[in-house]
Amino acid sequence: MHFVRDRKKLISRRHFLRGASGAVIALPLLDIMGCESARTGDLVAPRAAALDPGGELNPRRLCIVVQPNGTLRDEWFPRAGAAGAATETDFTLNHIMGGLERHRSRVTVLKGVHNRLVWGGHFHGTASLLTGTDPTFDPDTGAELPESQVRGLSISVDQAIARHIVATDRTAPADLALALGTMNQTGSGIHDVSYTGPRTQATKLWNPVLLWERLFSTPVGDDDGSERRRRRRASILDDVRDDYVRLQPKLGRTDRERLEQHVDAIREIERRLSVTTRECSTPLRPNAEVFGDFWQFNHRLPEALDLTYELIRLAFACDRTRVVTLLMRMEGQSGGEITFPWLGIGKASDPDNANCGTEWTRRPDCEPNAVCNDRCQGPESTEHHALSHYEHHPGAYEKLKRINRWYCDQFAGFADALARTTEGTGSVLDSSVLMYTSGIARGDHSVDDMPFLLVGSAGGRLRTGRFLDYGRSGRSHNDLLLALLHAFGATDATFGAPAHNGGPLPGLLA
Amino acid sequence: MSTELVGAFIDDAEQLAELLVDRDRVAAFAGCAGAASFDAECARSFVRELGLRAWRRPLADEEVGALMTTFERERSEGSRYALESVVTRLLSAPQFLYRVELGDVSRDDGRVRPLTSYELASRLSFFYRGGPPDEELLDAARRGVLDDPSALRSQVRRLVFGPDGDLDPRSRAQLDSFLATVAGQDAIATYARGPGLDQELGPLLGEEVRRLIEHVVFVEGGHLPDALHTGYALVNGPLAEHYGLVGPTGDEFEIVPNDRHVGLLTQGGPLVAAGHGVNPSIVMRGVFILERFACVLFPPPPPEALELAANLPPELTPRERVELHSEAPACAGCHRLIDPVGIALSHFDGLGRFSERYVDGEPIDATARLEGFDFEGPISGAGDLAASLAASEDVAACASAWIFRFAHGRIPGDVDACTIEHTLRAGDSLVDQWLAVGAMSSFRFIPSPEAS
Repeated sequence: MHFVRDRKKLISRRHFLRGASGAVIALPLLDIMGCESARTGDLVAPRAAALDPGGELNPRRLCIVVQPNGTLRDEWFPRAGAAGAATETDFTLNHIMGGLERHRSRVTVLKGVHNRLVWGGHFHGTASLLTGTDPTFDPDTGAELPESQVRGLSISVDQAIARHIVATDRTAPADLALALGTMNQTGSGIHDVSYTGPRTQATKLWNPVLLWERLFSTPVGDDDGSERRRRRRASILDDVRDDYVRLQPKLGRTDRERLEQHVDAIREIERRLSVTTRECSTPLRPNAEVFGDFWQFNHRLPEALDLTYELIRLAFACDRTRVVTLLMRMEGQSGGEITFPWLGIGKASDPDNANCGTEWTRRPDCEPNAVCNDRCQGPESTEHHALSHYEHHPGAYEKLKRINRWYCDQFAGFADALARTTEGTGSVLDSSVLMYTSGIARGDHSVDDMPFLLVGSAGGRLRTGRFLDYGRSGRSHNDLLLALLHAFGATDATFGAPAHNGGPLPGLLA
Repeated sequence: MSTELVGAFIDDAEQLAELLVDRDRVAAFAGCAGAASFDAECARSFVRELGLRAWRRPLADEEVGALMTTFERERSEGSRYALESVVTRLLSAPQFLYRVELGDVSRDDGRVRPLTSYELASRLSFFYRGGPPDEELLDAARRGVLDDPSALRSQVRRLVFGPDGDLDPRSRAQLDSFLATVAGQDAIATYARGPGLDQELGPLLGEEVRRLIEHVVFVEGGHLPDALHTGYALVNGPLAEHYGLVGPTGDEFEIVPNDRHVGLLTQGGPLVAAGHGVNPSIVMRGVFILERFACVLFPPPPPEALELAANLPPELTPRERVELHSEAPACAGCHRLIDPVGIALSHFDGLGRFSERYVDGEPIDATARLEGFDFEGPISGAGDLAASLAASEDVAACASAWIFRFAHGRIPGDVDACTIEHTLRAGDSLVDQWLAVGAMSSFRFIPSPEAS
């Protein structure tokens, strides 16, 4: 053997753990090298975060709120700013978003983002909204599906983000993605926005009692394992660190350094524990008699939305979930007439007949009826979907303006509550992104220039305080869904139908 | 140690503590039955008993004392909670998560010191069983009998072979893990998923390697070099069809004597791993075989060599390309060793299929002259190469070095040559060498801190 004389260099080093000659610590019990290399990708974020303690260590959250029946574009898109025509940073929030003025620096309004997948319509718009797929045709036969059979053809962005979080964050709660709705029906595209896979809707929690049972039946605090572990961990990590420090002087230099890394990691965990103190408490169980079935009944909507938003806020604050999608009411008219007696628009509908809405479509007159309070198809209607078809009529327009403002005000109140909920050195809102949208753009069922409004930066991953107008040619809404996915750390090249992807929406990601 | 990993260890320690601190378990372990809460004496006794298993040695009084400060501090939260806290600490400690080997200071001769008997028990158990020592081994450590060579040998035999004389499953798993490492099963699995391989064949290539080595080691009682030159293929129906062999047709593996497919080197798995995919590169094959089976580590090519390689005329055959190496001094130093090994395998395509001719119809020339080792000389084809390697002392020494490395977690150094030569005797079967590891002085002694 003439070529390599030094046997120390003989075997390629990659195949085994390296232990220095005379190792005091020969082999850790677990395969550290394997684990570390598998986790290399995760190391980057916490290290970078250490430079900016402003909430970076808090979990990122997503809440998507879907309002039915589109919006009024002249009351939605921002108006001229101080210096003239609206620009990216100089603009005035329009009437519907008036309630968000106090969050202006956190708001991003998008214009020129189109749903290019479908012709429009409540069913198709809703099914494609978060899936980025065209649900019009049967994927197997290619036949055009009846509206009742329309469903999203892929996982929706909220569920995809949840899966990414589960795969990359070992501290993530088990119950990661919740789909909330207001009707106990499911099935066609109109009923659901959240999909766990092709044509497979996420199980929908359709009232606040179900939501509470899912998230809070194990109370927060002493009886909750995670909180108890947190307390114990904080108190004994000091002891554990001492155990490492005491051993170090007995070791050689290499091993001392190895344990020093361990000690550093313990210090980092202690630091994270100290900054992630949460404002978290167990809410009371909602009254099942009032709320267990309420969303069938129109007149409870204000209380029900309040309660739902509060439960979402606590679920975020207690880290019981990270992703929530809320379909505030169903698109269109099926499943009940939607009136707004608290705004002076119509009377409360009768709980005994949840199907008034489907009935009025057959009646062209506005004759009052003992059961259904509104059977009117025309601009005099007091029903949201019926009104939405008459936005050119001044009376209907004025009502729609109030309805849209009211929905958005509830959303703004939710943002307020998250901003008030402190977490570490920031607020829960700082680490979240809330997206407000609708299944269609306007009452005429069109889906170009969709209403998309973001509040929050997802912990600094999104640029905010902006009006991003992609112009007439615009961008496909798949690009927005992909950008959201990237804001949560995924690196997928496309989302939904590949043909409608042009890369993550420019200007949105920080 | 990443923060995430340390966090995971602490998570696990907490969850284990909650499971372990159960009244019946504490009672059985510490002998304080019936108590509604754990008093300090009961907790202390539990910590000692659990500590012996978790730290794999008895705890010193001051260590128990330090752990009990946690108990006293957390006691206001309830004695169970306090004991869980102590156990979490015990299971997060370096003595649990690492194998701490300080050696027996009292027997230090200024150059080396022996491991303490508990440290040796741990080394034996982690090597032979892949886990912490069992009660019998801990007891042998307590009695100090592991210093006695025959007691040590009988403990090793007990760890390796079960009561019926067959390999203990845990010890077999350690051997399998070793064999998979040496055979490069990770690389085979990685590259057998790549382009040019169908989904059925890919996993079979690793399976074929595993079965051949296991047959040589466990059925024939041989060693790794014997697997290089078996004189037969061990294939099932799909593999026989892939190689064009007349042999089994079903899923069962059978021995098919053959003078072309003569062992490990002509199998698709190692060839795919060598070529990083379906790639019959002469150079990559040579490097792969010499690194793995002759324990050579080649430096990366010098810049001049890379430049030469980038500017070769494209019409050259693979063999003509490598022959140019000998004309360039920057290349020749390594390639006179590497190229003949790769050339000898020229009849085998990227997936191990034999052919007589190059793609252009010219007959394949697999003659070469091996250089630089004790397997020097003219050869023709894979059969000659395999026979040379299987008979080589350099290759046998490399096989022993693999065992040393797996057992010690380090590359053998000059100082280890003597102990390897004396303990891992050339000519012994792999299993015999394996059994001899526990008695190696390098396995039982560590350098004095002053000496290192």
